[in-house]
Amino acid sequence: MCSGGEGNRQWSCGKAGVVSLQKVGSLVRDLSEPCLSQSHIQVVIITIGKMLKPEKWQASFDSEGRVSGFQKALKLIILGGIDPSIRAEVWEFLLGCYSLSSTSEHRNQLRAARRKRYNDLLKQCQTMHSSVGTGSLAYVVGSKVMDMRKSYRDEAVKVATTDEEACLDDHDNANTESHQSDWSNNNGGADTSNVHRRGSSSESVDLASGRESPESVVYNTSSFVSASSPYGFPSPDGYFDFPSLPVTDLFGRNSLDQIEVSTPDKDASLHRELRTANADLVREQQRSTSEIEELHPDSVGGLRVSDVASVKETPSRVGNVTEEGVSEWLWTLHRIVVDVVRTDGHLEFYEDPGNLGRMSDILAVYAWVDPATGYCQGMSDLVSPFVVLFEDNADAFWCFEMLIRRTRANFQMEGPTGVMDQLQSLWHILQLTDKDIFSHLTRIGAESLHFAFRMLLVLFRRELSFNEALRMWEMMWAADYDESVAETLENDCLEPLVIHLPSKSKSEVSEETIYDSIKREPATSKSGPISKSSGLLSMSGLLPKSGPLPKTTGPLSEESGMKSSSSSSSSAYHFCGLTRSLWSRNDRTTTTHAPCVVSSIRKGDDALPVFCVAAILIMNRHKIMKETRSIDDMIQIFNDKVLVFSVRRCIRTAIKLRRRYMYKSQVIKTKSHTNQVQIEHQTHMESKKLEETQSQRQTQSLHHSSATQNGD
Amino acid sequence: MARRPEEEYDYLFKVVLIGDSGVGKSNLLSRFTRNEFCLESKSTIGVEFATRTLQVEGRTVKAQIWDTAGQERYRAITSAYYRGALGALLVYDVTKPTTFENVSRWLKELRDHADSNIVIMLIGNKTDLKHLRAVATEDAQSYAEKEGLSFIETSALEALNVEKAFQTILSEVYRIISKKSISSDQASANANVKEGQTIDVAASSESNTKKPCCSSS
Repeated sequence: MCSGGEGNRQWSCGKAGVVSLQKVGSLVRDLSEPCLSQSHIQVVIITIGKMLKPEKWQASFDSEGRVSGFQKALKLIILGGIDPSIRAEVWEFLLGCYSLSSTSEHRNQLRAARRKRYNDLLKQCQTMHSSVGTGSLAYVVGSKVMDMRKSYRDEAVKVATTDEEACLDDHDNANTESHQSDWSNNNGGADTSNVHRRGSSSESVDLASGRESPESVVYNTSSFVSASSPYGFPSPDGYFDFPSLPVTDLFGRNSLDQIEVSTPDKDASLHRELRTANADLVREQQRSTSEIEELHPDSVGGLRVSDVASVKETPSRVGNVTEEGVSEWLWTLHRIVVDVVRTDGHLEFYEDPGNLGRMSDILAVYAWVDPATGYCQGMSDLVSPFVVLFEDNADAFWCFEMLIRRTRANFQMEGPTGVMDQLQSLWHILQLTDKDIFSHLTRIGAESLHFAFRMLLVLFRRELSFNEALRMWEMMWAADYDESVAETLENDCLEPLVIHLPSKSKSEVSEETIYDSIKREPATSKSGPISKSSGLLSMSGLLPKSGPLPKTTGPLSEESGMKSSSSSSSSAYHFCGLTRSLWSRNDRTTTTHAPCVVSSIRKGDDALPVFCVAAILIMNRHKIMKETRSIDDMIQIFNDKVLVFSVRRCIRTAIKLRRRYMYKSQVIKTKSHTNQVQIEHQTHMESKKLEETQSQRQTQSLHHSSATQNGD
Repeated sequence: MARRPEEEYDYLFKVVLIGDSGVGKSNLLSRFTRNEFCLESKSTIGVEFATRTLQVEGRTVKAQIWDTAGQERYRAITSAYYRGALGALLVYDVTKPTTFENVSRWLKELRDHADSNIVIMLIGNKTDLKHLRAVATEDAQSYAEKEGLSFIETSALEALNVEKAFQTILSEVYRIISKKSISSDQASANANVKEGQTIDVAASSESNTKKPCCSSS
């Protein structure tokens, strides 16, 4: 069932040949991956033995399909990643989609339920825009909303005029469409195959769902009206319940408590904007329905603002919220499409417009279930690998969603607060672990560390080739894997994604239903998983922060409490999510009963990606110190991708750095908290080990610098 | 590494590219600085910049052009880069009225965050898509006049007017800078601009990193 090794799926990068995911060994794949040769960053090809291979992976399941030897698997992944043929499958565990203790039977059930849920959600989205789920890209409706929304926001005075313009402008539909066409044209300029692929503006109908012509406008917008409730929740009025709005259907569903459209927990002003934007949307709907009426005179009662208002009254939870939700979502959909068409365009995989459509669908569904986050630039970079790896969109969606649970703070409406926190952490890390780089960056005024922004936001997707980025991800996730955190993350589940399995399969209470685990909070999750995890950790010498470190929880999470003082917050597990609960357990108690989970990630000083950035800086120390004289220079060398690093070495260095950093910051802590005798004792015990690591690191960094200069 | 001639310059002018996401900012930049138009140009995350040294009014000017992410929620970061900018290219897409309507928002953004003397040029990009044009030149022209901006229409794809756009704004910046330096007691233009670091008279930089094509992809 797991679409892990879809043997028949093929993809490749760039212009060179197609590579089969399954049949070709990973080494061969690496060698033949054209992205590698195009990349400005040199990448070391990882020795074939040091990675998680299918045999090893298959051997780690017991008779019922529980994963038993995951620690060993993690070790191998940290050393060299995952064999691409089993990547998708393993990722689901790394990301916490499935718990290690689940049986294969249970996973199958859960997978089936998730697929069904995804498809239900997709169908909801389809009722708002018919392009969703069809393999073509939506367009336009959203951009109108965006227009109005923006002009309302700052220019209340101008409202009337822009309003008029928008309504009167007959060309508007076709015009706002043009972005797609533009890309086609651009491509056409230099590459005829691309022209063929993306179509010229007039041919891009399938891709852009052809909003250029009035007919297609009707086609698309007709979904507003013709939407029955095809997703198994029969609407009260039956199937062809015109003129009931899709909105009605949606809200009808709400009463079933299955879907909760939570209000973006935004300020009232946003709501106001949305309402006004919605008015515009309704106006547009009106227009399109009248077009439809021309074609199907008897089918439509038309769509009036007043209709919407009356819809509001019917089911209990409708209200403005969902109306706004719909218009906001349509607006978001436009944004999504703008970015989807320019995400990983170099991959042959995406020359198939259907795959762009898949990417767009997943993002659209996500934006629908998480309106507080919606869509933010950078997300398309994160979702793309899942689209490539998973055959089933639902599976890709759940993985993506698990990743976003860990990174949600990077994509907030108010800004990428998560990354900003991580940059702060990076500064502390450098301060404690590498005086040279730290003082150099201070000297050149690069304290903002903005050059690292992109790396942290899209997790090295822009610095590495597609394949190498995937390897980096899995290595980071493995290094940060913590079963208890994975479990905790389930509590972070967005309401619409909560799945209640119909029949409980015997053994696995722990991950059975997300819903249950929410209920269990906080009683169990506090003690249970943590003891588990410390056991887990001590088993593996490879894992960072093993051994006595778990006990350090106290001061560290205190620290995190201090740093994240602004948040009353919720858990402090971080990005790879899988970060130690050790650092965060004190914060975990309050986790989210809120319908809409605004992220738990407050502070990133133990997330491996931050240490990876630090490692990259340190590995390129000489070049940086020699060639940069301002933050501009720093930004430039990262933009131009002239820094050299190998993924494997980067991960290794990062893990060591993290250990060192944790140790050092703990020493500092200990000094200020003299009462923490116990910890002091432990750090003492640990110090020897760490000194070793340090000297190791120093020799290594010497080696690095010479090695990296030579292209490693 | 041997020094390249472009590292000798009389002035360093910082210019920012702003505008809605997808209007073609990055391609205007790559067209101007590298004469490239990237087929697979990705969305800009955070800020990026590129430089080009050229002759402006007989002086050697190093133009440092900052490219910013278009999405609103990144504005807190990108607006940090307005500081010290002497010029701003405010880009919209001639085929997308929304991006033109948002120009006023961007202007406000600039007025809130940038130096008050910043030279602003309105750019209608993607003129190659003639059949899809949705913003009339005259509308943009009159808007620009009303707001006191210079205005030009470009096509990064066809390399139409890109050079001219940058030349124009850099000349304008130069005129303002040189006027200032004449009216001032100080000989150096450098001292006359708020953010001294943006104008380095006769400065030279050793940062000579190579600028490769658009991306690693």
